[in-house]
Amino acid sequence: MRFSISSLKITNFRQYRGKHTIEFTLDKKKNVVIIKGKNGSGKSNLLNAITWCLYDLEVHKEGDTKYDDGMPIINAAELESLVPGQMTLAEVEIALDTENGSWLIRRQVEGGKDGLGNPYVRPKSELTVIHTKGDQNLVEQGDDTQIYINKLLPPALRSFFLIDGEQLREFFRKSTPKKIAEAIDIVSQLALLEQAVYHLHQYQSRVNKSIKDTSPKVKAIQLEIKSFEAKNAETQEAIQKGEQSLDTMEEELRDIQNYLKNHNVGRISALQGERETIDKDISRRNRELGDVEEKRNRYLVRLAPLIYLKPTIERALAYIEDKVEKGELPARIKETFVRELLDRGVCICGNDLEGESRRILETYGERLALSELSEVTIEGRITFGGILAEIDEFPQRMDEHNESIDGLKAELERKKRRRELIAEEIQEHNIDDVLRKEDRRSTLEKNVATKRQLLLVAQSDVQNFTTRLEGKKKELLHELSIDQKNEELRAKLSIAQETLEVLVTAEEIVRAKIRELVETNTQRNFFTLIRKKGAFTGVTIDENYSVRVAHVQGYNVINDLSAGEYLILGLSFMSALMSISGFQSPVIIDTPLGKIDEEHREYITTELPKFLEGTQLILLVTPTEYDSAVRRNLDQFLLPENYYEIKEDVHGIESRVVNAHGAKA
Amino acid sequence: MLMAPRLETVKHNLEPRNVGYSKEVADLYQDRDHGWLKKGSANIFAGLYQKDLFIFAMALGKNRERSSDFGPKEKQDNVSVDAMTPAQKWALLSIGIAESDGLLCLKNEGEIYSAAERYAREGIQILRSHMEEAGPNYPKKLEVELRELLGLLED
Repeated sequence: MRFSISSLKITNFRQYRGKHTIEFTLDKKKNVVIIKGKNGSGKSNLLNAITWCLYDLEVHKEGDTKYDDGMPIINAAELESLVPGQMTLAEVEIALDTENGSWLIRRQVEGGKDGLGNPYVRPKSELTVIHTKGDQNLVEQGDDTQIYINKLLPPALRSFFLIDGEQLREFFRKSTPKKIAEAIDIVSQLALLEQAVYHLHQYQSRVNKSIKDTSPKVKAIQLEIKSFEAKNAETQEAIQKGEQSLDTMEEELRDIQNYLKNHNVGRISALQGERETIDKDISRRNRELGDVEEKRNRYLVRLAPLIYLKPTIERALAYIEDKVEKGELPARIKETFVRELLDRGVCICGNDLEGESRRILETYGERLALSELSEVTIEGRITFGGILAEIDEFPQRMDEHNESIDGLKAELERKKRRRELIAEEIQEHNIDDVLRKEDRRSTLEKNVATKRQLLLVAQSDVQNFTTRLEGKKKELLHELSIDQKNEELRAKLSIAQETLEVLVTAEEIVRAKIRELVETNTQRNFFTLIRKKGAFTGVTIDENYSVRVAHVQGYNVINDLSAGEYLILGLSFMSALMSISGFQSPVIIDTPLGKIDEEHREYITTELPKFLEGTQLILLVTPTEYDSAVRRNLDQFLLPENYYEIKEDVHGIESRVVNAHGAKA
Repeated sequence: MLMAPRLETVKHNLEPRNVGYSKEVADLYQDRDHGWLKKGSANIFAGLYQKDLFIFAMALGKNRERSSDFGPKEKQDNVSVDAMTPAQKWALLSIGIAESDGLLCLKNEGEIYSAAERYAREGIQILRSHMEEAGPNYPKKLEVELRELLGLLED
């Protein structure tokens, strides 16, 4: 369902003491809303107010958190002003304009001072949704009310619409293929299929349990199935935990690398920079090595059957050569022509074919048996000749392949050696914090490599268990079919198994199609939004969910983009996911232009509102971001009444949002 | 090298499937999670087609002179001879020519296909044992074997 925000009312939420109302005027072309405020003035808390109202969550820089630590969600001064026993509340109310009429969403949480004067905030907030059905206004309250919001915009899709600019810029700088795959999985909305698969597995287990009076063999197979299922579940759980821990380690590793790269001792910073360049080189060379090895393998697989069959092929060729030498191939007269003459019984000269002349022609016809194969055997002769010529080249071609592989391996070794020297030189500086970080970096690097290997082993184990489990299930079906009394159970299990296979295939197909669609849309969006259109040739998301941005000179520059280019790539990807998800919600971006160079700011502020035409685009900007050029560009998409500023009190503790339309200039 | 023209005009998915393999090893022939043809996997056959694996298995079976008959309902025809390259198709036909000591077998290719299937049936098992034994070093082992075969043949 398409919707826009028509107003936002905030009461005693964080630094917004008292009641604050922001009205949004909706316009398809002039779709931008600006809320300007200094760093720390409360821009992010406006985004938090919205996510809290909708999902009982606040989006902080570090990720999603609940309000159970730090500053209370109810304005601290408001709480402080209460007398013991007095109560107050924090409330956020969002009015929506939807295709099906107006909606009002309100969340409030109570708090106050207890009898001893200690401030408290109740742990549970209350959600109210008022929506229209026909001519009626329906009021929803209680535990199930969240369902209404989730239908409007599922929580999993939230981060594609309610965006932290900094997180968006970092998305492709930090994201692993796993995170890309997760994001694509969310919009693929495979939950229904996954639920069906889950229920079918449950059903299979129930049917398995109901098999009674079984033979010892059935019992043994059932036990094996149970054991494989348990091992599978255990390993999958270990993989999930392992992946989480890998993410954490990789995050810490990146932080350390950034620390060293930005170190105020120039040589440390330069060495870390060089190490990062080497790492990129190593990963590029590893990819090249993979490509070259694959090429070698393809060649081997193509030539191996021909070499295995060399004696056979030579023998076949010898037969053809022999026939050619004897003049039987290619035949000058076709066997069919001789047969026609014999059938007709009359020679081309007009004489009857009888007696000796007929016998001579019959003998000749037998010798022409190969005539119909003339063309085909000549084709074979040429192909066999070509095959043998290729086999002759095999040793030389293999040497060439091996030479490329060995060359790349040697280069990789040199780069790894240089890396070791860099680590030694960094340590020679003998700076305490650098030594500590370098030590930790080295440990993390080893741990990450080990963890990745363990995960690969575990994933291979899961594959192995799954194959064996499937085998055992088939075996069970076979055993059950032996005894007629199990026929009904066998039929049930068989249908469940077949349906499972269909569902798994369907899941694979949907996943692949959506990935292709996201890839196409991301590329299209990227080339719409990017300024240097000629510098790139494509954006791809391969089957392993690795993103590549191809530079015009052929390099993959995914690790070398500027902050502006990362933002555009992030926006392009999010936008692709948004459009595929089918949900049409306002897009709210906190600090969209921070760290973005002037040229990209100019381009983004001209192109983004056009790109999202018809979608309400709420930008929470700092005064630095909202400079004169940005203001000039956005003016054409901004109704004057949709311009707000956040004003702080003299102490910088409390904030209020004012319509600053008159103050724009 | 001069190659004979490909004559088929039908779409690949509509091509007749003229040769097959045992249901028992069907999983290996699939581009699925546990199949050898699965794109992106580390297998030497990753990203290739059933016909490539079939020809490989057939040639290995023939090289070792190992073939066996299919049990009833054991075979499923999934591989298209029309989709093969001329070199692959003639590698297959060479078995018929060499074994029948003549060219007349080309008038009935069906019989050659059956012989090829019987070799592939054994060849895939030999291949499986080679791959299990060598693990990730299989390409290197294969290269050594092929060089040896050529060396022995040259001697």
